[in-house]
Amino acid sequence: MALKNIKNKIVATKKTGQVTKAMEAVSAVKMRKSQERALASRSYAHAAARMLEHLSVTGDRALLPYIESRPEGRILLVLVTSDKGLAGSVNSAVLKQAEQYIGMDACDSICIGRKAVEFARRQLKGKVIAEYVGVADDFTLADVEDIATKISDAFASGVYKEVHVNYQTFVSTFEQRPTSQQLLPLKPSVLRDIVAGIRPKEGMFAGDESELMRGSDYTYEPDAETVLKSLMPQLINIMIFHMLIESKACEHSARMIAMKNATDKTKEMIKSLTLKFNKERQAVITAEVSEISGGMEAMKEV
Amino acid sequence: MKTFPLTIAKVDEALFRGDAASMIVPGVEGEMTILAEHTPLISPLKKGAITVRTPEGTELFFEANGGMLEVSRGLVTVLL
Repeated sequence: MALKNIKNKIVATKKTGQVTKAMEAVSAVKMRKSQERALASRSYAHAAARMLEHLSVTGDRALLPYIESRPEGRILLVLVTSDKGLAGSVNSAVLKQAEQYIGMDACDSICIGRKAVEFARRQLKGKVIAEYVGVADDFTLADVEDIATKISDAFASGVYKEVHVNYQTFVSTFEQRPTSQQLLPLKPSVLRDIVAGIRPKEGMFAGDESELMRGSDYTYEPDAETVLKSLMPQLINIMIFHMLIESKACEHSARMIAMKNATDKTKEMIKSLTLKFNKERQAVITAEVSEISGGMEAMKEV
Repeated sequence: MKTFPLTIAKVDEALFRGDAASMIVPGVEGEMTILAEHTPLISPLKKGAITVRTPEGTELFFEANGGMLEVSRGLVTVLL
């Protein structure tokens, strides 16, 4: 009986292993694509963040909807997670960072990804202003426009004093860094951190060039207001795009690793179960043999 | 001739990164030629062609479908 149990267990573990292996293969493909995309868009995001940094220093009047600091108001939390689980600690790390907002009355949220929506509904006191579930892997800049507009509008309405974003930054396949930043009002120091954080790893922007450029006094063409009005939404859009694309790369990397670990673990388990199975079988055979020979001995004596 | 570091990037790829001798861009107010030590400038771009002349004298062309140009001290960036 025990023999059959062990055998069933081995079969079940093998099946699980096949599933995780398939998931690993799928994730590996998605990971490669999303990593390529994330890394390719970094120089773009880097340039946009740098531009934002320079602009925020100028403190132009037309920038007011983006840089106005208010003494009081609510906090708007933007959470970026994946829709699906089974991706190691990638979502829990972001949500762990968001734990500081639990119990805060003056905190509303915009959620991207099902895990974030679930978290916000269950844990956060404020309301969920908008939720985005099922963002495709190959989303474009135009797809995130809606999110960016919602965020900018919410801030411009004057209800919120700060907009915080929580997402994952991609470091490598094995390492993702949960990141928490203040997006609005724009602060030069924060933007400088962002710029430093997204320096492409190939060293295209090696060296700290921000020192070089500080305090550029821009000429605007045609004029400051027109330029900033058309530019700022685009730049904010790019920042959101950057956050989403980084999170995607992290999600797939983490899932690939998690599935790889699971596959390895099933192999290990099958090995130890097989060993147990063989031992058990041996014991059964030995018992049978000794029974038979014992019986024969008994017959001889009669 | 003095050159300047130039980056032309699209969302999903960097089209040009390196030194350039001059660049002609379609600004909303008309075409502009950017040379080294241009005054800091920000301008949206309209549809048109971007011409980049490298220090070696070769000319490269890129298509602009809107976008933005930023010239800051010592660095020129075009986001398409």
